[in-house]
Amino acid sequence: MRASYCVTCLADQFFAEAAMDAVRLLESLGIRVEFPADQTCCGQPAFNAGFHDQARQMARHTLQVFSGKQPVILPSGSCSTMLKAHYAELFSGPELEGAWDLAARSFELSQFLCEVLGCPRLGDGLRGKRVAYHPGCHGLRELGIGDGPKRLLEAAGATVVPWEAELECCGFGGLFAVKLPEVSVGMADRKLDTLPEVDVLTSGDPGCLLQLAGRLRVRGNPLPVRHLASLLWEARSGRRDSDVR
Amino acid sequence: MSAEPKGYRERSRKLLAGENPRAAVTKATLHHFHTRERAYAELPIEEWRSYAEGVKNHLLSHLEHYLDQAERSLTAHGVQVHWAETAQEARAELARLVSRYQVKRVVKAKSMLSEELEVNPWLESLGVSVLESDLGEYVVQLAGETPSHIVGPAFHKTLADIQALFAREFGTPPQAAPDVLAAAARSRLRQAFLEADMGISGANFVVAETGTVALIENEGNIRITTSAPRVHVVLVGIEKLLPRQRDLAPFLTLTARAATGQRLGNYVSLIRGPKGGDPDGPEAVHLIFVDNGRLRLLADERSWETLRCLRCGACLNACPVYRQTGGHAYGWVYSGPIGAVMAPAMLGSRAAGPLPYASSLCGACAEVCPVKIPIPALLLAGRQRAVLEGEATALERGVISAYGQAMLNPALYRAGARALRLGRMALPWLRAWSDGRGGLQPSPKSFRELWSER
Amino acid sequence: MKESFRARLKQAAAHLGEAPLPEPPAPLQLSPEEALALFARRFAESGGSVELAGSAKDLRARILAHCQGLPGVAISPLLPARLRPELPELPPEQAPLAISVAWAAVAETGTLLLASQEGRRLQLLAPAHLVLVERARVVASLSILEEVRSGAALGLHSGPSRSADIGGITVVGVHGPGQVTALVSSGRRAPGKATG
Repeated sequence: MRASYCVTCLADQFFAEAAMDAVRLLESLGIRVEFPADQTCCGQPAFNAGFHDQARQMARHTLQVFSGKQPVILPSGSCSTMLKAHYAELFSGPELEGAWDLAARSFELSQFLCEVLGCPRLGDGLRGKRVAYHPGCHGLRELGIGDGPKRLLEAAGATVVPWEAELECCGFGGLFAVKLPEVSVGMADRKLDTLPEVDVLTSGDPGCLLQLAGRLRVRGNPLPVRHLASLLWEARSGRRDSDVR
Repeated sequence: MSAEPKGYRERSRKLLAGENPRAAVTKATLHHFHTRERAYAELPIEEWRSYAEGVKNHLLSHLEHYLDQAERSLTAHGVQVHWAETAQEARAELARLVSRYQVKRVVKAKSMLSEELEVNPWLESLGVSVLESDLGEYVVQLAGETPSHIVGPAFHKTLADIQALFAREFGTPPQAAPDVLAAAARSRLRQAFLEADMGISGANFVVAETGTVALIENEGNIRITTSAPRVHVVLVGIEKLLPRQRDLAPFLTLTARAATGQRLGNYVSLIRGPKGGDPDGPEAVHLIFVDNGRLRLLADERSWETLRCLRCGACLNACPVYRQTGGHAYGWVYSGPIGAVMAPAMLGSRAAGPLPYASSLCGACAEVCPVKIPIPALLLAGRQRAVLEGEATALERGVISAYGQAMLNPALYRAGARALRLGRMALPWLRAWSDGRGGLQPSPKSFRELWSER
Repeated sequence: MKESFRARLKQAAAHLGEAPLPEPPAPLQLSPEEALALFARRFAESGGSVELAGSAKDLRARILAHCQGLPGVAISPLLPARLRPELPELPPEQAPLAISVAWAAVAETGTLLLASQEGRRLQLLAPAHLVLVERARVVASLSILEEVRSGAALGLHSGPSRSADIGGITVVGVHGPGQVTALVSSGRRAPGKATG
C-alpha cells in the first residue's frame, strides 16, 4: 500500500528523528511512504486563533499537496483533527467535497496502525519498559482515538502505568501556551505532579511533547520524553534511533 | 459584579503566584468531576443528554409560546409576573416591591442571576439589609468577595481561610471544626430567616404547563428563604422554562447528577404560589422574567445554544484551565468554559476580551455538558468573531499574516526552517514560552533534510 | 408579556428552525416491595434513617420512642389523633422534633414528598424531623411529579440539611434538620391524607 506522509510543521522542526521513526515503522510494515515536498502547515494555528481566512488559504494549499486517492498519515493527533474535523468548516461547494475526501483518508499514526492495519503486533522491543502515555486531547476527544496506542505499547512488552491525570490536558493548546503562559504551565505542572514512576513519557502529539518535555527540563526532571512513533519503532526494531531529549 | 474580563491574564498571573487557590479549586472540582462521572454511569446517559438537549432546543424555538403559557399558569395560582429587559429594569422592579411591602430585611438564596443583576449593592443602596443564606455564598459575602463557581461559591477557599474569616467575624476558635463554623453561621442565619420581610431566590426551572418554580439545593436555605418571609421574589432568566410537568423529574435529576453527582439534591422546592390556606408560607409571590442580554444570545446564530445551559457547573469541574485559578480570574459572573462562550455574544467581543482564548480547546467540557452545548466549537466561534470585529492584537494579526504567507510558499517555509536552526528567527512570544519551558530546541536537522538525505 | 419584549423575542428567535419536543426517558418501574427496599437504601445513602413499622401499634410505639424525654414536639395537622404523642405542641423553631406526614416517597432518588398544607416551617426548622409515609405511597419513580397539580408548594426531602461549602467537608444540620427519619407505616391503614 502506498501512503502520503504529512509530517506536520512541529514534527518536521522539533521531532525530525521521531518523524523518521514513523516512516521506518510504516515501511517495515510494507507501506510505501511518499513525502510531498511542498507541504507546509495545515493551518491549525491560524484557525484556532480565529483567523479563518488565513487558515482557509493554508488548508487549500494542503488540499492541493495531498490530492489523489491514497491515505495520508500524520504523526500528530492535533493536526489530524484539523484535517479530519475542521477543514470542512472552511469550505463550501466542490472544495468542501475535497475537504471531506481528505478527511476520510487522513489518519493519525496510531489510528492508521489500528484502524487500517488492524493493530498489528509490532515486536517485543519494549520489554520491561514502564511507560506513561499522554493522549493528546484532540486525538482523544475529537478523533476518538481510544486505547489503540496503549494496546500497541503493551503488546510490545511495555507496561502502561496508570496516571491520575492521564486524561487531562497538558496545557499546550497551541497559541494558548504563549497567550496565557502562567495558566498553561500550571496545567503542565498538574500533569507532572501526578506522574507515576516510569522509564519514559510518551504521546502521539508533538505539541504536547514540547510542553511536557520543556516543563520537565525546567523542573530538573531527567525523565526521557519520546514521541509514540519512536517507541513503536523501538518496539518493532529493538533499536533506539532517536530520543527527544 | 461588573464585567471586566479584559484583565484575565493579569488576574490569572496573580492568582497563580504565591498563595493561590489552585489546590483548593483543584480538589473541589475533581471531587465533583468524579461524583458526576459515577452518577452519569448509572443512566443511559447519552439518551438522557439527547433528550435534555432536544427539550431545550424545542423550548428555545418556541420561547414566545412557552413564556406566554408560563405567565398564564403562574398568574392562575396567584404568582405576580413581571418582565425586565435589562438589569436596570429588574432592579427597578425590586425597588418597587421593596417599597410596596415596606421591606427592611432580605434573605437571599444563591442565584447567579442576582449576581448578574448586582442585586445586593442595589438593595443596600435602598437601605435594605441583605443576607446570603447559602453557606458558601455567606462565606463569600463575609469576605467581601463574589462567588467563584456556579455551584460552589467558595470553592476557592480552604478550611483555614474560612477558619480565619470566622475567627475575625464571630470570634470562633482559630482551629474550629467545620461543624462549629457551620453552627456559628446557622445561628446568625436562623435569626435572619425569621426576621426577614422578603426572600429572594433564583429558579432552576419554571414549568410552563403548570407554573411550577423548581429549585434544587442541599442545605435547606432555599426552602426556608422561599417559605419563611412574607414575600418571595423569584428572579429567573427567560430561558429557564420547561415545557411540560413531565419534563421536571428528568431535568431535576439530570441537573443534580451533573452538578454534584447526586441523584437529587437533598432538598427540592416546587413552588406554585402564595400560601393560600396553608399554615405558613409567603403571602405574596412575585416572579421577574429577565432578559439582560439573553435575547442577544438567542439571536446569535452560534451562541444561542448556550441558552440550554442548566448552570450545573459540570464544565467548570471538568476544565483544566478553570482549575488553575478558579472563577475570579474571569472577571465575570459566569466563569469557566460556559462563561467564555456566553461572554462574546452577551457582552460583545470587546468586553469579553480574552475569555474565548482562555481555553486549550481540550474538549473536556463538551464531554460532560448535560445539554450538549458544543463549547469548543463556540470558543472557536468566539475567537473568529473577535478577529472579524477587529479585536485581535496588532502583534497577533502581524504574526498570523506573516506566518500565513510563509506557509503558502514552500521555499519560504524551508528558509524559515534554516533560520530557526541558526537561531536567526525572531520568534514572537519566545519569552512567554521559554520562561516556563526553557528554550526551544529544534532537531539538528529537519525531517525534510533527513528525508532528502536518505 | 410586554409588547416591546415580544417584538424583540420574535426577532431574536426568527433564525431558529423547528425543533421537535422529545419524550422523557422511560420511568423506572419496580414492584412495591422493590420500591420500598430501594427507597430505604437510597434515603439512607444520602444520610437519612428509615424505620419500617410492622403494625399500627408498632407505628405508634415508634413515634412515641422518638418523643421520649422531649419537652414537646411540633406536629403536622395531618397526623391522625390516634398517633399524636401526649406532649405539649411547640412551634417548629422551638421544638426539638417535628413530625410530618408525607404525601408520597420516591425510591429511585430516596425522596420524601412533603405538601405545604401541613406547614413548611414544620418541615424545616426543628433539628430533627420524623416523617410518616404510607407504604402504599412509596413509588418507584420521580415521574410521580407529573401528578402534582395543586397546593402552594411541595418539598422534596432526600436526606438531612447538608453542606460541603466549608473546605469540602460535609456538615449536616446547616439550616434545616440534621436528622431525618422516614417512618414507613405497615400500609393497612393510611396515616393521614395529604394532596400534592
